Amino acid sequence: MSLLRTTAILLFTGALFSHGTGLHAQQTREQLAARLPSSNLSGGEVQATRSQLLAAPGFARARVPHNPGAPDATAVGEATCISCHQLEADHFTHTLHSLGLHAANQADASVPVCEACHGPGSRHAQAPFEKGTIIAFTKAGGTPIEVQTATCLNCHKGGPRDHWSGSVHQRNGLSCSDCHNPMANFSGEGFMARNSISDTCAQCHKDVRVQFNRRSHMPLPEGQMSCADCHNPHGSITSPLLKTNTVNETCYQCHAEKRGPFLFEHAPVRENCLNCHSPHGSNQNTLLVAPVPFLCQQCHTGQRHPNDLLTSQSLATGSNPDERIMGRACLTCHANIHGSNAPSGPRFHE
Amino acid sequence: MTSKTMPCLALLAALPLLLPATVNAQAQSAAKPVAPAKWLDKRGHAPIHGDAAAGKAKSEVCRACHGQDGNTPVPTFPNLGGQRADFLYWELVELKHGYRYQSPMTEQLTPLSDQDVRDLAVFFASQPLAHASDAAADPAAIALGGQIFRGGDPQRGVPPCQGCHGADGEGIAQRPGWPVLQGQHPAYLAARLRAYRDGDPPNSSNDFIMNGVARGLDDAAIDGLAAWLVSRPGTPER
Amino acid sequence: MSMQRLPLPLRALPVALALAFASSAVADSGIGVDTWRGTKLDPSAGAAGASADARGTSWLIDGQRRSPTGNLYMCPADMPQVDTFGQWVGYGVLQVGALATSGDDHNALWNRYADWDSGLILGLLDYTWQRPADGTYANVRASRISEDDQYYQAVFGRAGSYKVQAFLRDMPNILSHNAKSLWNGVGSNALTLPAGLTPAASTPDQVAAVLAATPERRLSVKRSKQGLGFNMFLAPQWTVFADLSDEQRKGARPYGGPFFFNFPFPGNGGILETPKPIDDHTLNLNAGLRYAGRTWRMDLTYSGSFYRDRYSRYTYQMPFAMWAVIPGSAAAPLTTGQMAMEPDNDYHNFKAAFTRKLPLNGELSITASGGRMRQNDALIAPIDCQGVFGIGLGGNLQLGPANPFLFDCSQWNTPAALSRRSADMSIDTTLVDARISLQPATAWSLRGGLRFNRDDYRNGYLAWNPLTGDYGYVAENGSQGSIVPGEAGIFHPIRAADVITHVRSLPLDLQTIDADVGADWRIDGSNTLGATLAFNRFEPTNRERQRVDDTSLKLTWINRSLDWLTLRVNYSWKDSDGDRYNYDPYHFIYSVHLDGFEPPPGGVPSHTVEAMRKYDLPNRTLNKLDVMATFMPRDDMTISASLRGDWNSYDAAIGRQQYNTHSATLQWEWQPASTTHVSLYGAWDRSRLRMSNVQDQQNGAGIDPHLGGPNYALSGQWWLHDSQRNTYAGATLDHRIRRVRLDASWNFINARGRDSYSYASAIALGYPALGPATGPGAGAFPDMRYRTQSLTLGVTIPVIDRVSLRIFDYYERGTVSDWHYAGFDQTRVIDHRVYTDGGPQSYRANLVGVLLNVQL
Repeated sequence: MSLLRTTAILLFTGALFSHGTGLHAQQTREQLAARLPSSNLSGGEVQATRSQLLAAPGFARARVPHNPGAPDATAVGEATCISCHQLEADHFTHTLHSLGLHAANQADASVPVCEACHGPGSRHAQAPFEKGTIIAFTKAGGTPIEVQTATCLNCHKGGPRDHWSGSVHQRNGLSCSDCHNPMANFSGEGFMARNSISDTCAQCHKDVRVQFNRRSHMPLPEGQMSCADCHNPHGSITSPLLKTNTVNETCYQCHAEKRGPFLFEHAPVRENCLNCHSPHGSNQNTLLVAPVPFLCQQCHTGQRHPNDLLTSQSLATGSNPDERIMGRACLTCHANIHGSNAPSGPRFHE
Repeated sequence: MTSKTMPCLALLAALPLLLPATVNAQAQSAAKPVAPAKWLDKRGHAPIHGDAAAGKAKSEVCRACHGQDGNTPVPTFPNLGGQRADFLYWELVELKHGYRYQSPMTEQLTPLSDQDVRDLAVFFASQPLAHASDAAADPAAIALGGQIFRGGDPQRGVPPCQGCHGADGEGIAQRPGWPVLQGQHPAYLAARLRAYRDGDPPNSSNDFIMNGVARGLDDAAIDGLAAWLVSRPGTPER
Repeated sequence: MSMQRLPLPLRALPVALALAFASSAVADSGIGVDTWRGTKLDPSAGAAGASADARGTSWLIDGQRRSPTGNLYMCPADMPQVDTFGQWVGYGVLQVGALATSGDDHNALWNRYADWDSGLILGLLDYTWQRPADGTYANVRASRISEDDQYYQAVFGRAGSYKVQAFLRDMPNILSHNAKSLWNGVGSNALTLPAGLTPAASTPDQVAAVLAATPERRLSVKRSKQGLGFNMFLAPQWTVFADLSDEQRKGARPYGGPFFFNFPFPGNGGILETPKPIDDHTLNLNAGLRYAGRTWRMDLTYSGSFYRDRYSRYTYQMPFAMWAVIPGSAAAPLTTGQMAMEPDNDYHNFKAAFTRKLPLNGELSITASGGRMRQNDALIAPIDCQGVFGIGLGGNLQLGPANPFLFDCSQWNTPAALSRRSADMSIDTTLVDARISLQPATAWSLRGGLRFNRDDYRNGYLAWNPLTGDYGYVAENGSQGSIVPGEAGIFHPIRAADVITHVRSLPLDLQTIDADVGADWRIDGSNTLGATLAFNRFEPTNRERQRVDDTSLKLTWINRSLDWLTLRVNYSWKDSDGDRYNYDPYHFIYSVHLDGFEPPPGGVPSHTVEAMRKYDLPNRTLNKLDVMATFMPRDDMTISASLRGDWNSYDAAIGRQQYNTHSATLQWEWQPASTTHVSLYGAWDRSRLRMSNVQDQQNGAGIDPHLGGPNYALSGQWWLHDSQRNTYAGATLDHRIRRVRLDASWNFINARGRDSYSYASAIALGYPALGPATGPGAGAFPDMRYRTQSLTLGVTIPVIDRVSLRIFDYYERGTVSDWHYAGFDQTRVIDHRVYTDGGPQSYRANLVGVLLNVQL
């Protein structure tokens, strides 16, 4: 796989140097604004710099969505919007939506910019304090949640959002804009409302987020993964919004070695990783739900060694040290607890 | 929680209490003579209060230009009577603290205290709005002005003025700091709009808005707006 | 590995993809991982470091707007310094600097997923190019904290058209900083004893002396991943994507190594915590085609995953000599243990989802998915030994009829001793899911779902040795049969007809059917009520139950009637029941079902106690309450609170009886100005688990499975209460005074786990003769503690235009105690037990950093 790694390195360095180094000419915001594409619906000077390339399909078909809150409103064009909302426009400039909408607008002046998401602006411009006259994605804006989400889904329907309708977030009255804020770049990825996916989820799920502060946890607080590695907040065919068909398939995405199937399988392991592991964090080693050996002794009551009650007298500091409770306890001997591929491993010893 | 962690907690908990003093420095700059910032932030201030009678007593210096009750016959000076107190106050703050480049008003206001300024603002606001007149106005210009004021000019990126200034320029309840325009001297209004359009350096957060709004106005539109506004009847929003 | 073992088309795929699209693994909320790359130093990957725009968000309003739920939005970052390169504009940031760590900076908990080291770092390089004319863009982002903690990514695309991406990421996982490996060759698949120790002939004292002189070392596993991916619009409604990644894991982790019990046999057996080598890699491929039209939507995806382990097993040398429990007999010396590694496996999954708009604002969505997990690794031999294993009666280790408990290694140390040479195991998965939603009126929405899921095991394994005709396996590297006669794990209808041992694999086919119906009623503009009734049927195979049915009801209430409050309340009730619980469905995997099996004189001992109810197949009642509230007391403040309770009651005399969890959180956020952000949070949670077990009384020979019978006498019953309690708190401050930015954050967790027990009589105890523990702490284990707090203080000072300097300090203190490892600081050789990992340790460490921040 060194080829894959090399390709990735080349791409990275290529991208780094592909445009050379430019002069760091000091420029004012006004100069910048003047250079950025205008998107006045009248076209005007825009056509001069119009790209000869085909329009990007993702934005070329953007149209002004219907706003039930202002059924008679008409589009006024970006220039009118930003005459008042200049600061918003400044922040929006470097987002991907801005880039795509402006490029599409240059190629086809009928493609709206602000009004592609906010609906026709004429009524709002006349009565900006009248709620619902513009499709607003805020609490006070007066636009019903359903109208907000439907507006986003005009372009973003399907794919990862296929099961939004009926999902737990939809049923609990969340809007796209509870998690996303595409008005500026707040996060490196995903147009999140907060600095990261995980920070965004923690707005409501702080109780889950703090579990990641426990002794054993997946590397989410360390920024090496996000909630969205396992969950699809837009809805999925599982009730915990998992991205795959089952809990285990979700875990196998990063723990592929556990997939097997093994010559000898451990029933609760195959059934559901969560039988023994607490995925958001645990104060036991390796995300275990309860301390070994008691975790195992919830099911293992068989004859001889599994069903004894061991006490602190059997720790290394006690009078009768016992391997069944010290260190990895049961797992010191039944080490291949996730399944064994050894012909001599039916009890996961090998 | 250990006793050792408590001091940390206490320190962090106390931080927010210490903050307002610094955070609101910009807002409070109105009250203290500070080095002029680039622009004055007029957003989100609480409504002002003052004593109109005291203001009247202090308004002597204003009369020369703005008239006894804030209404002046000089067409290039703004009428102040019936203007909104919050708007007046923040305009005066802007002038007093030198946000506006080399304005003669700065010198006039320098000796006044912040309370004086509040009183003055409340006094002028309490005076009647004397509608100026523009008998020479062209009906076509008035019509154009009305059309832009009420409906904007999307082709030029001009929003309807009424959204922020009221259907007849009487101001809107939601923003006491945004001015009444009706009855104002057309010459004064037109001059201000031209300055905005031509990109005069903004002195306040509101100027950033008006610079953008006026960018698409041509002379005919400006004159039309000024003519239409002076013709509007009505009572200003308080 | 490796690539050689992949099917040819797959071997070519990465090349083809790389050449065709020059591309990456694209974060996608619908499929795959890799949605985020950051470091502990900056989990936000740059976003948190950007300073807020002092101008605010809008000239028209003060402060921030709120999300529909009521959370304040953040203030956007300062505008970047943009440079022009012909048609392109570019902007970005570079942070370079140095870190210095001190204190217990080698500690595993301090270095958790971070591997901080003193030295130069690339905090962040983030540069974006955009060509406004056509929406083309490129971005590179990189960070290098240390050799094991770094990422690099490049993205190239055109907004609304295509996106290609590549990344490399290295992530450390420090598992132990105080490991002492008795064995040489850590990280390899052959762990050998050092000079001075003789396999199978060393005494605990000798082993202890060697281990005492062995320096502590780190055991860690590094994950290195690289990905390529692309997605693009083929047409306005059609998109296609493919993500390919390859991840290597390399290192070693504490694992096990059994040579039979030590606890009943002082000076015998072997309990060896060995460092397992980790050396594998996984290729993941996700690709799909999506259509989203007005009436129809379609999502066709393929997921493939190919795991390859460098080793099929690792071996470790056994230091100790063993003795057989029959007086006068000899235990065959066993020098080598083995541990199978996880087998290479291939996974394919195809998924097709079709959605159609329906009248009444409805949608019908049908998903079908089929997959296969398969492995066919060459199987390792049952034992790695030379000569003989087992017991030589009378001290005679000569094979022959006189030695029925002695076995010939050469008939077991080869794959020829297996019924087949490779595993040839697979599981086929099938899933069909259909759901419908309708909105017949604005105020009403109805929904229903039906889901069918199946896992089918293909093939099984019979443990039969064609060389000897024996069934079964060699237990614990031959040690069990070398210590206790008849326990080698080997059955033969003539030679060892009463031996009870595993002879078959356990296929775990299962099927689930889920159905639900629900309705939401919007009473008015600010109140919504919802209800969902669900039924789940779980049908496992070869388990204690063949059917478990869950019935559940979930009620939802959302209230937004107050301007300053958003309230969401969810309550669920679930009841689980099923068919008759068979405490021993496993007969068929044991020799007891084979022809020729002769029960022992007293009968076949019971598999377990009949009263046991495994908690994955229970009769259970669940109640769950979930309240979430967002308060908006002022324009610049948000308070979020949540309360959760989860009560699980299991109908089990033996097994898990109760598992309740509760939590409460409160967070306060204040944004008094665009450049000031303050937050505080506090949280508390608790879980209580109660279980019961029962000690058997007839030395493993009892045939009566009943609780209260002679074997599982009530006097042997015991109970354990596991109580976990966590308190969390934290605060952040981000504030700018003129051009100087201050940031501070503090995080705290105090976790306490307490395990207390009670028992019917001392018979329940592992060591009844000791009697109950007395004195302080009797009846409970020492508390498990985990308490950490961390404090960051930083100041960012402008230097010259575009350049600022951030100086920061990160201090972390952790107190940890885990009774599993009590005493391991004194010795890790306890009779015939050898422990590698010293367990987690408390620490105090500090990190000082300086970062030069340049706006490029």
